Amino acid sequence: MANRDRNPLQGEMLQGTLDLLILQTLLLGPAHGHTIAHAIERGSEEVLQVEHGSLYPALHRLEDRKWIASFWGTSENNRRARYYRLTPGGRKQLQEQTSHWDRLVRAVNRVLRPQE
Amino acid sequence: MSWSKYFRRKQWDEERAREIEAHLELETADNLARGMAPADARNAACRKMGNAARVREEIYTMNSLGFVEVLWQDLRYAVRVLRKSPGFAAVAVLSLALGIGANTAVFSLVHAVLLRPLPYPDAGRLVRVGRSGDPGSSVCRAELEFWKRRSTTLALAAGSEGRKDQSFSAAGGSEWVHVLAVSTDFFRTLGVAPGEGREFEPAETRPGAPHAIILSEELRRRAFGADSPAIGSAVKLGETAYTVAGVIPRGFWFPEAADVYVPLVTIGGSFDLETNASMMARLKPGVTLVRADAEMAALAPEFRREYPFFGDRYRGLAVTPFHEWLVGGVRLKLLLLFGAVGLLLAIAVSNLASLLLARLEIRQKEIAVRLALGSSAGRLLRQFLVENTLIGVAGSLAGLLGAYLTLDWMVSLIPFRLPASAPVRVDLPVLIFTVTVALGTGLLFSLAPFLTSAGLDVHETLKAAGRSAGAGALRGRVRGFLVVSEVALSVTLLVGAALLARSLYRMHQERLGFEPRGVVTFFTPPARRYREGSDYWRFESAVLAKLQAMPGVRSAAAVSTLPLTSQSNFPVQEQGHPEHSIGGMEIRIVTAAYFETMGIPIRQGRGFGAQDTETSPPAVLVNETVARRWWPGGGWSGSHVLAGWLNGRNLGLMDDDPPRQVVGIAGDTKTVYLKAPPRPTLYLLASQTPWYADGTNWVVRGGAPAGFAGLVRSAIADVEPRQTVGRFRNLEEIVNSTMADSRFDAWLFGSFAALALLVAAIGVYGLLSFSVARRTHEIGTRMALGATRADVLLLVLRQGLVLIGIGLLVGIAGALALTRWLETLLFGVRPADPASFAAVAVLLLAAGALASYIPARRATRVDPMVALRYE
Repeated sequence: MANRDRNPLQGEMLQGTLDLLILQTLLLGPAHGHTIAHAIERGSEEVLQVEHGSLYPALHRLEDRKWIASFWGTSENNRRARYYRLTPGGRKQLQEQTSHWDRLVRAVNRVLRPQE
Repeated sequence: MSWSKYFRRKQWDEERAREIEAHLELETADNLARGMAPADARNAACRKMGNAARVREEIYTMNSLGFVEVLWQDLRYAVRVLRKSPGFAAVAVLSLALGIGANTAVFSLVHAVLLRPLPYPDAGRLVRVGRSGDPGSSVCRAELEFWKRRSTTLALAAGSEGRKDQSFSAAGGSEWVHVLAVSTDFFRTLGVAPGEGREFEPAETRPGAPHAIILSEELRRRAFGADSPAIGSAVKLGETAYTVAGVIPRGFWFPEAADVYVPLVTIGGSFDLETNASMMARLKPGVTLVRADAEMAALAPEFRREYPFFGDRYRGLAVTPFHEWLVGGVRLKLLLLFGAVGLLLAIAVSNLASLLLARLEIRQKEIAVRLALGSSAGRLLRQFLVENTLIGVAGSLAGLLGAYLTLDWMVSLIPFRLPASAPVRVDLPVLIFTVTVALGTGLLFSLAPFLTSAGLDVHETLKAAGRSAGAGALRGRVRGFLVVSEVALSVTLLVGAALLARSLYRMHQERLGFEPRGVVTFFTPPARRYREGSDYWRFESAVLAKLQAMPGVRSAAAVSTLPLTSQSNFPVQEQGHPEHSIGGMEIRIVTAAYFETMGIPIRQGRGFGAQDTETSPPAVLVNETVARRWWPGGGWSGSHVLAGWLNGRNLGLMDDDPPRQVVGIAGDTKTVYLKAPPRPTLYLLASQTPWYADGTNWVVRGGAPAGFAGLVRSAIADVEPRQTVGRFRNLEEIVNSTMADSRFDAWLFGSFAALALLVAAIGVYGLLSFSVARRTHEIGTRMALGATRADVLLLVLRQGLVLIGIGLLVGIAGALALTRWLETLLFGVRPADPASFAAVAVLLLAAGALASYIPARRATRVDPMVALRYE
């Protein structure tokens, strides 16, 4: 696709990381975009600052790949909101990507701190 | 989602907008909860969100096939760009349309004639049978019967013989019809069954049998209507009554469609030796051509024993695949035509590529700016590809449409009969061909800009825009190469055209042996009412007397066959000299004034005169070819000839024809073809030749005022009211029509070559103009440093002439290799004719010099001051 090269994530976030974080967040249960953004920020102890806008293309992409599904629901303070939930395919994808991520982190760490 | 997402993008977008709005509201609410002021809360939420429009755009793009989207953009851009230079667009589309259109039209011909299979079941087993060594020759009926009876390799065999058109009358009225005489098994051999009735039975091909006739479906409908029964009905062909035996289904086609079929009568005995049946056969399954030929050759000695006068040199019959025989005459011509339009297309494509390169050069700056603004090189190249494709598609569609609309008209220009079983049209295979060619050419002419754009470099291009840069120099070389190819290709076509034109000229120069100018001819068809030859002669002499009395008529005569129309093959021998035999002599039955009227000189002895009457001793003239062959040292005087005799044997063609004394030698005349030498000819006197009445051609010198035809008609009506008259023509027309083929060839090649030359000249002109424009700065510098106008002129001219010179040499080499394919179309000119090559070289150099001179002169007008300030 034409715009793949345009990184949806800002700052220091790695390509694909956001997808992983979204999937992880949804493991706990269905959530809407706003909840997901804040969950990621809180979960990372505010280290990862998500530009909320970039969340939606990612959600769209994940939904397109059938890893998550969406439905309209009512939010905690009675507003209409679009909820996302993990599909079985997404659950599997999360496991794969998590282990992939672990390997990557271990590999990078080995390079950065060879003596350990 | 899946596919529907591409079509529901608008709803999607709205939904996303709502979702984002919901998000913002949630965030604003959170912010308010944290104690922010309402306006700040909303702003903070928006800041946190980022560029919502871009988010939506991103999702929107995800929902589109990026390729289609970009293509659509590129397409709209390409249309805008082409609209901005309508001249270029018109030239590009037109030249491509011309090339594609010509190729489509010619391929339609090639497909209809050479590639489309014959419309007969298992047509691969159909063969044409002819005398060994002459596949298209006719055979006599004895041969047809003998091989049909004896062969073990032929499943079926049949013969046919074209007949003169005749009037056909039935209940539904009368009309003029095309007649073919066919043997038994004719339709079965082709694998066609009569739609009604049956085909001829052996009994119907015997002399004296009841006359049976087979009609075409089309004629049957016209004559009887669709519903009333036709079989067994009585019809008349000419003055003979026939009974309808069968009807052949619509669309039946032999090499030529006929309206009615009559039995090819096998008389038995001597008449079986008339040599004019076209024989065809169906091989038994699994029989190869080689095996069939071997068997035919093996049967030849047996045939010779049965019919000894065929002589020892008779080698029997041989087979040729039917389709191959059918298209043999036009195959080379069609392929040459195909080659010519192929070259034309190649030139058009080169020119287009060259034009595109020039445009690329002109658009350097645009390209550089777009690169600098962040466009990727790939995207730019795709943009150019889309532009080129647009030109290609427009040109191809225009060409296809042009070919489709003008095909019938173009086919009607072809002077020879096309052996096509169905009308020539643009059908699916032709479409496939055109699309393939269009794609191929599109790829080719797009390729050049691609190759030379490989090293697009922003800085280099921006700095050097308008001046010679690396890529520019490469493009220059490619354009040079393209111009050289154009010149070379047009040289090849020009040489072909020159050779054909010279052939045509040679033909015009060819000595006919008679003087056609001022001679009018017409024809009176044969009729049954002249029971005796003498009756016919009385009719002829009465008409002659009337003709001679007409105002302005200097001389008038009758002749059995006009020169350059058809051929006769008659065995003739000198009495008492079996070694003086000619098997295929031309026979002309003439009235006394024939030689005077036609302007044929009497070389020795005398022409026919008043002393030759119905009762005087029969006299003949022979032409110089016979005299040279039989009496090379003279001594013809007092000789007699025997018509119907060969090698000392009376063939029984003429039962009681007396020996005829040779009284003179007439000058040679062209007989059937202008290209062939005169054939041996025997002139008999009409009054002394009662056995020939196949219609009469009349020749009249002088006296062709307006209304001559009317005068002739009333004169003949005075003599015999029931006699019809027709085919009024000038003899010159007949002579010219025999050159129609050659004129067509020359005209066709000539126009292709002229087009090619024009395109090549434009190519040279374009390249040089462009180069001059690009070198304005350099030229200005040179002039400032003291170069004269002549120096500058020479500088540019040299650049052009070098390209033309290289192209000329390559083209001449190509022509030398290719023109030998033209050999069979040439007459009196060798394929490597130096004069033709020289003429082409001069023409090309002149055109090239002219094309170079215009830009060169423009270069001399460069003002050094302006040029140096330029840019």
